[in-house]
Amino acid sequence: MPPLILTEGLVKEYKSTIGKGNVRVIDNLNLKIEEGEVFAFIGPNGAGKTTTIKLLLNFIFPTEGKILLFGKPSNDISTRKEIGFLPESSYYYRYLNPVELLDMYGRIFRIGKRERLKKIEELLSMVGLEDFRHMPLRNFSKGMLQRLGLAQALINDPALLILDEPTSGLDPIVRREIRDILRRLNQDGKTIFFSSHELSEVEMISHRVGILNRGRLIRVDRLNELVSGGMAKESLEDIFIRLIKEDVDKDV
Amino acid sequence: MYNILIVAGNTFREAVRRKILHALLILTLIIIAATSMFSFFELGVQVKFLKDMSLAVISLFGMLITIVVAVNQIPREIEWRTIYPLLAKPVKRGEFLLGKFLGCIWVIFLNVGLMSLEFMVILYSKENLLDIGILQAIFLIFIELILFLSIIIFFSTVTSVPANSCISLFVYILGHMKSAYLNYLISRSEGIKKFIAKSFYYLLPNLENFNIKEAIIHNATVSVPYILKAISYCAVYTTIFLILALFFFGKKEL
Repeated sequence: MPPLILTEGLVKEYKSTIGKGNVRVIDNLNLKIEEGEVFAFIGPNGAGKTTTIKLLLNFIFPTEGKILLFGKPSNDISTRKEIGFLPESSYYYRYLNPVELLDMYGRIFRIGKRERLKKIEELLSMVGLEDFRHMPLRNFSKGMLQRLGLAQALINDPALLILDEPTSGLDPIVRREIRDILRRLNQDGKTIFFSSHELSEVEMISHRVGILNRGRLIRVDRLNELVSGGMAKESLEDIFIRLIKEDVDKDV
Repeated sequence: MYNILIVAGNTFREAVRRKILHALLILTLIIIAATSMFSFFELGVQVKFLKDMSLAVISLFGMLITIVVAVNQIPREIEWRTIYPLLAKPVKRGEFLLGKFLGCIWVIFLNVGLMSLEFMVILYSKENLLDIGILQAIFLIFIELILFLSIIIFFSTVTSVPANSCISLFVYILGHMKSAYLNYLISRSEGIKKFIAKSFYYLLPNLENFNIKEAIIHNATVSVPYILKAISYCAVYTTIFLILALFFFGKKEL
């Protein structure tokens, strides 16, 4: 089985708005995500986490380097059949209700009507939105949209979940609900690649962690090795801040 | 094709739930109804006036509805990030764009259809007959709107919403004045001005090809070959604009 995500020498540059030259936002990124793991992609604001996810899903195009999903180029549309994606701050069609939205996405995967309706009910129940199935999405709160976002990402029962800040801006109750769902999904065999700012969350659910700073992957390690291998009693937050500072100091 | 239909269905469903479209449609229906109430002409003149005004209203409001429906379709998907979950699924960018185009056509068809239905009912109540020429005129307005839609979809892949609205409106107006105004400009100008006028002349579609109001008002009809020629003209320009839109949208960073 090839790695579910593989990037080699990935570079993304944008034209500078000031003067000549390019700004490098992703710099020689090498990632390898194996089946069954929960990989957390962490970094300060502007580190390039969302850019990396956009590159993986071919929303933007790399300047250099290679991206393979399930061993195939990322622009191969067939890879999408096995992927579920939750964007940062989920937004969906305001005039639809959850059933209509999930039904539309289910049809894309050619799921038969009976199975689709069953799946929709299961997913709405899983994310706790079964009582809001006919409410227009424009009336949904951020937390409800995020839970619906998770449901739509699971409509095709994907092998790989790519989640961009799945718990960002949510209250502790919804955060815990989403965390529990992610744990269960991983126990069911799903591979999860997610970006996050919530380091306590990362500590609770991830197997491996990649720390990104200014487009560079400065450390990738198993969570337990990262935490126990550092200074005594250092939390992930302490390690994160220390590594980022060291990376900045190195450049200075 | 199936994915195109899914995107089109969603585009249609969203569009018909928008209040601004309801308002535009109701306003148009009121204007057409009001047109039939002018009774200061004798009956023959009144019917001509009704045909002239109603066809003009269907054409004008059809254009406005096309702009309202289409101008924001792709930019809004990007701005509201609704495009991301969709394109993370097995939907190609081309399917997404063509689905948007097809969904907008359905919305335009529904609106033009309702306006026309009201107009035909009123006309039938006045004249007691259904004029084939009227159907031809309405059909050509619809064909023209499809071409206009492809222009808007193309510009929505390369410009902002305000710029697209202005450019599309400019293209629509110039497309209707092309034969008269640009011919005049070409004959009167020289050098770079002449070159620009000529460029516009050859690049812009001549939307007057779809305007047969004058003939219809005077109870004439147009020949089937003319209609077929208009359909071909629309097909060629629409295909060109859609190919350009697919090219630029395929390269667009989202």
